[in-house]
Amino acid sequence: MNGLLQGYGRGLSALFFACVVLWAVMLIVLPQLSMLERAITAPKRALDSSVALSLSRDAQTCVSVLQTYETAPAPTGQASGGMAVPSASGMAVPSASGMAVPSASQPRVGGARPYILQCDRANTHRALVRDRDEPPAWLDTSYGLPSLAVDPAAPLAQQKATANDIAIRARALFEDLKQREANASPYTLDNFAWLAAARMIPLSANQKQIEDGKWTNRALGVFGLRFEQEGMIYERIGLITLVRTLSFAVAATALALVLCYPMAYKVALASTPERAVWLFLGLVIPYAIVELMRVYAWSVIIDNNGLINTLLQWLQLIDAPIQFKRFPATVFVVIVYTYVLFMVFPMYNVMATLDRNQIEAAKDLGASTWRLHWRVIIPHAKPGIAVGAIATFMLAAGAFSVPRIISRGLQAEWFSQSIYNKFFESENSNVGAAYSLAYTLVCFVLVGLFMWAMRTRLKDFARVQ
Amino acid sequence: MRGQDIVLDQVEITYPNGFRAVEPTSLKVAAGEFFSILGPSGCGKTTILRAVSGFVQPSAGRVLIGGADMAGIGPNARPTALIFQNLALFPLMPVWENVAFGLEARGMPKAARRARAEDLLALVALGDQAGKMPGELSGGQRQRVAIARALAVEPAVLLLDEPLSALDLKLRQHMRAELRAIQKKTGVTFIYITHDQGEALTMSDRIAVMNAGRVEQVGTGDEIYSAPQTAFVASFVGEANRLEGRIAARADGMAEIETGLGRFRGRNPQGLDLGQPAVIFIRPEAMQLGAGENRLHAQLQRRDLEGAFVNLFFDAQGHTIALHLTNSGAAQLSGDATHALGFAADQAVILPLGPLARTGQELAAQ
Repeated sequence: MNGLLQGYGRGLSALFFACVVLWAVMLIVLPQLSMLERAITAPKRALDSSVALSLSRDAQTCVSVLQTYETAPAPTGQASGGMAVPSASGMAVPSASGMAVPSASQPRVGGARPYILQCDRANTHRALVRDRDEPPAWLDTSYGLPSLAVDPAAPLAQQKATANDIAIRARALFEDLKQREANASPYTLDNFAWLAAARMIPLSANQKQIEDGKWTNRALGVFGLRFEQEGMIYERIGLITLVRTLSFAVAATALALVLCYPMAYKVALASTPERAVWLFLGLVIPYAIVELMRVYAWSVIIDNNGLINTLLQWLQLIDAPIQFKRFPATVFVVIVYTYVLFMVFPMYNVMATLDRNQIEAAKDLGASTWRLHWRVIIPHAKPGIAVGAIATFMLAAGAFSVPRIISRGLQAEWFSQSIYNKFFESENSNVGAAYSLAYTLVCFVLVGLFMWAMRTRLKDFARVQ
Repeated sequence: MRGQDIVLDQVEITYPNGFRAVEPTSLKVAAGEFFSILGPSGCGKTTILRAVSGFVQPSAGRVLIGGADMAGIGPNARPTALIFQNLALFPLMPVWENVAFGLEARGMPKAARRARAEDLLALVALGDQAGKMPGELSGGQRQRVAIARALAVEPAVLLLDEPLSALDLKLRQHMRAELRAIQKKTGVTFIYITHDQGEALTMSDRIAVMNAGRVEQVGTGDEIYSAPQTAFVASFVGEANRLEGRIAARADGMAEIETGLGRFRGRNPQGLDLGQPAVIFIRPEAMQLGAGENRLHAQLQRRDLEGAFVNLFFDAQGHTIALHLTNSGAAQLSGDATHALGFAADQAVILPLGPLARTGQELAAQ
């Protein structure tokens, strides 16, 4: 703090702090909080109170329309016919502007009055809005209203009285529900439940036999992610995608680590400075290409008409192209290639700070190559390994373009794609918020566990840069 | 532990970039000897050390340790242990694991190597520091950890690459004595690399003075200091007044040299002939005030008091002549007057003209 003041003066330091605070609030705190709120907010839909209000309005309109019939003689002929308003019950639409529209297409019932939509809808047995997987509910049964309806065959006065009764009761219920809804917490964990929701997988008997035999499916069964009920297969798709993506990301990180350690060691410690420059350039140049192009280059190689298939067919080793895009391994390999750099550089940086005399000292004391790495180089490089592993893991876990470009929908989706779909292509984007929040938390916990397992303290990371 | 002898047989080392670090060199170091290689930086002394430890393969010649040819044997299989200039302790291991590292590499069980490490730490008076990390120790303690670590593998030869250069003066002087004591106690052959003549002179049984990849002289400290064989040795080890000239007369191992300041008599160990270009070296402490066997006249320029000693600097026709006197408290010399200075002929040595060690002035100008 003092150093900052001395180095940059009051004005610049204040600007710097303002920027940091702005950044922390705008880009970290607020987005996470809004994501959290969305994740625990129930999806937007018609509330029960609005259904009660709509009923009350319908009944009210019915009463006033019936009033006109009571005083004026019934209109004759078809000329006065207006437009029929389709019933919107069950939708969150307020009753059609309160206007009664007598329908000419309906036969007169009982001769007392024409068909009135609002009177028809003034029925306490009105459906409430529920999710698809919830049992249907009705206003009267749910809130203890008597089952009332305006009977078109009854005398007008009685119809009016019934409608009035309904209007008053519905109004009272509305006030009551509004109060209750205002008091009730608007928050729920239902969105998270979607993550574990089981979906039926339609399979023919043949397919089912094949699928049941796969070890991956059996493993899913062990963890309760796939089960059979009444002869049908159910899978918890959300959780399966999550577990699958995380396993791939962990495996990609492990592979990147195994590939990068010798590379980083070679460039940082086992080369003359002149050669290290060339090796370093060789590492950097592929990554100076935009990520999308780097991924697309793979697409060119593995396409059905791509490099490998063309070559194999030309050599007449295969008849039909190998559909690489269907292999999960392809996405895996491309992810490793795309993010391997983020493993190499932290490792290289930290290894380059190792005093080469320590390597010579270890050799001089009789250490084998294995012991030299295990006891001297790896402990020194550990913060770099941890930073690299965390960076690679988070990038692999959050990869979006790679699975999208490489698999083109021919494989199960990556969890980041699931989040995208829930956000932008489903009716309930709050589920997307729940997915992404859950994913963030799971990754956070995994990274924490990893750091604990590596015994890396945060202050060690300062050594990397 | 028993020391072994080392023989360098016409060892020549040329780096891949063509730089010849060591000219063909032969050296014999006796078992149990404290042998120093003294020379300015870049003279090839560290390269020789690395050839003995196995990190550098000689381009020609042989390295023998205990009579066995070391060709093709890596550093981890030689009976040597190296102490690095920066010590190269493993900072992420506690002290005792540092010391036990060589034993661990040899597969000794943990309890045994911990006990051995603690014995060694006791030997270097660090018995209570076993559990600390190297970073928590002082410079002198780290130094001793490095020694204990090297001794743990029971080497026949201990190679030390200027290990004291990072310490401050008092500690350095103390560590000199300690190193010497450890060497006596263990009987291990020490090869000690240094550019500090004080270290080499105080500790060593014998010293090799190197310059530009070549061994100029091998001998005891007294031989090196009092009977230098080359102009480089005379100028590098200790301070010396030097005057260039030509041999004007010679007889019985003595010679006379004609210089710009007159004709001086001195020893002629190399048997120089009449007319040969030569340099006469006189140690400042061999100079005396007042005429002696050899005499010259000079003006006093500067008087530096060092406490027990006084350094006097005279100017004689552009040559600086230094005098090193014990401080008797008497004889305050006045400036500007011309004084007569003298020295005994057997205190002066006449050597062939050759490369000289750089003076402090030259080093500073670099």
